[in-house]
Amino acid sequence: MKIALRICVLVFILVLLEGCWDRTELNDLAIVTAMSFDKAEDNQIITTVQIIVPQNQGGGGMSGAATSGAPHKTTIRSGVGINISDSLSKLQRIIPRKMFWGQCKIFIFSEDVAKAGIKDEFDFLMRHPQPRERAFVFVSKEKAAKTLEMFPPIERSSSEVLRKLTELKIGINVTLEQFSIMLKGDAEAAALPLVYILPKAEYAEPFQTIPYIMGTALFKKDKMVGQISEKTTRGVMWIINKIDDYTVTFEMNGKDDFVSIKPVNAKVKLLPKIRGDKWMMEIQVRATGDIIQNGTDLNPMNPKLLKKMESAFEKDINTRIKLAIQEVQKQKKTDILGFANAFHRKYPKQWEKNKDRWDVLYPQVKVTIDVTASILRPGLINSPGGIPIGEVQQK
Amino acid sequence: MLDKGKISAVQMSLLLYPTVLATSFLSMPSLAAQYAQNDLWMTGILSSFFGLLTIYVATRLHDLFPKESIIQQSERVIGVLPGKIIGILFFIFYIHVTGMIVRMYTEFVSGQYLFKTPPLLIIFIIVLLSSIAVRGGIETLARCAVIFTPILMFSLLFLLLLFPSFDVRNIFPILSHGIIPVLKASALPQSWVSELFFISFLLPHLTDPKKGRKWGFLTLGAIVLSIIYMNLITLLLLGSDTANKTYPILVVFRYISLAGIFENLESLLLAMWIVGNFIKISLFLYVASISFAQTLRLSDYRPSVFPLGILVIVFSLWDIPNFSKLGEHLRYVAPFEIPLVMVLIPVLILIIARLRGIRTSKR
Repeated sequence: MKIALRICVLVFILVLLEGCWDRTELNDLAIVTAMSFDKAEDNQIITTVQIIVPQNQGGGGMSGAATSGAPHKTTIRSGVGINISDSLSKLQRIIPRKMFWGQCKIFIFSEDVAKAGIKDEFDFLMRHPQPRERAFVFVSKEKAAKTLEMFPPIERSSSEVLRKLTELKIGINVTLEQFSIMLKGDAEAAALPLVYILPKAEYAEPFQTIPYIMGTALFKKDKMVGQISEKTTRGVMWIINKIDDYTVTFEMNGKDDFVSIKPVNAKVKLLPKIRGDKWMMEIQVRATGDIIQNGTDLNPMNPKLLKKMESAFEKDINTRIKLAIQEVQKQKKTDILGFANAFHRKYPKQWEKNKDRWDVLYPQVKVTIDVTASILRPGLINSPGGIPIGEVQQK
Repeated sequence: MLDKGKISAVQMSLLLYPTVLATSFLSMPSLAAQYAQNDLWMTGILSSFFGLLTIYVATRLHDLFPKESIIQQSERVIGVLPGKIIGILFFIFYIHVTGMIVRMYTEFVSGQYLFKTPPLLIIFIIVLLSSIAVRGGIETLARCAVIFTPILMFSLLFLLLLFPSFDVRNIFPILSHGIIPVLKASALPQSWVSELFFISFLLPHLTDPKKGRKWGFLTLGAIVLSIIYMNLITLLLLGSDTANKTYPILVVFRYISLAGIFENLESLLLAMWIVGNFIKISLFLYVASISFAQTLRLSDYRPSVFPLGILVIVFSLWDIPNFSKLGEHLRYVAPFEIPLVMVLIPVLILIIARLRGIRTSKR
């Protein structure tokens, strides 16, 4: 009797332990790799998902694929609704499998959605348990769905292309969580990378191209207020200390002689100061790098000439930063440079008093730039290559 | 004694660590950040006060009446009838708190992972499992703790993988709003740490009772360090966004990404959550059953475990219609009710014992 009871309990537990309710199998799932948001009529939103097309195993698919171009490994579907949740529920009607977002690492907003404000969409992305905080966020210059429609020749999908590009750290890259932190921060401003579509090569099949990152979209609160060029973005990256493995080419002696330095590594500090009513910011840059190309006739092995090169290098960095300051601080008046946080940290009391008028204060902050750059190594040759030894300026 | 089991002081320590931390660590940084903002890492240091007090009181009472728990001690000190009232209060309170813990456990599991599984089933399974462990006695619990607590503590180290994303500047400015918000924020960890009073129920089982106080304080030290560690990591990663999260530690775990290998670690967090809460719920249920049996002078506590388990299920569903009610309870009720029972009453009993001139009894 007792044994029978125990067996009953065991069987009962066995049934419970399976966890049948939330069982998910791979072939019941549609794996979403990227998601984009566009504007539709009547203030509605189009949500587009990029889904991995499950590939058939074997079958000599490789040789066939080689003749007919890259196989289409992803597909896109769109749904229209009043907000994301609504459009997703509409979207599920045309996707036979349950959408799984564990691999969704890219979110793209189209420019018109960004300009109208992305508060609602953002709330969804942070609140819903499925989107991952480490996913990257972009603003698309063209229709956002178009960027997902590409079939890249090298990578598996266009979302993979964007993810790999961000890993190279060539532009500002922003995860969902970082974006949320920026918007919650003192400056109430944020920056997101802009995505364009690369014109396809002439011989390529239709849609066989990639989205790429260029320039930056500026946000005030949740609304996009403008954009800055790639060049200015580089300057901004200096200020926010994101320079890493970077190439700088600068002019020497002002006569079309160029020197290139790579990899440039930099340490940047923001040193805020308040003197009476005046708010000042000193940007302190310490940069180092190696010569990889020397178009001048100067021999960098001579410390005196190297000093000259270094000061030209410093001047170039200075110009880059000034350009960014001019555009971001004076013209666009958007604090994506982290000035507000810097002031708050150093002067909490003054900040508390003045935080409401930061919008007015920010463009008036006086910026000084202090650059110290050093060139560490000359590369594999010492005196400039390609010119006779007599023409090299040794001293 | 109802339970003849013997445990070592280290085992006691391993039992107490998850009992304080297992549920609370998940949302602790955001609850603290709502008051203290970027000073939240200090709350850990300040919260140790009630812990020190409650361990001191429990061990003093144990010196006066060794081999007895607070239930029997209070009967000795303030008389049978008032002692019984306190005993009943204790056991009802423990059942109520266990219910709350089970509910918190379930909210996280069904809200973030098992969307379709009925919550009642999740509640039922964990309470059933805990009840079986409790019927096994204190030794069984201690051995479970020896296996599970290191898993919990070791997994926390995975958070260090986030170091490339840390922004140390998030700590500044320090104390820009003064100390008051930090004190407010430490009210909640204060109350969790006072759960260390359970040492009163464990001390009689120790093979080496003299080490009890030392290991009690060591446990407190480990807990305080863990609280500071988790608060600091959350602050360094999330900064001003911390206060906005329901489960900041979940976000932090999801954010881990190292070399493409260590990713999607939230399943690890779920494993930690389950083993930690299993220990926590078991010890609470054990203490509740012992208090019940001691108050009513039963000869065995085991028959009452399953009925009390059913009561726990009922308490976990009662009066908490949704998550925001649960949050309200955690923020405004728990910081007062837990220290009231776990700190204030024992302190009063100790003072009365002193006033009545009860000396350290013969050993």
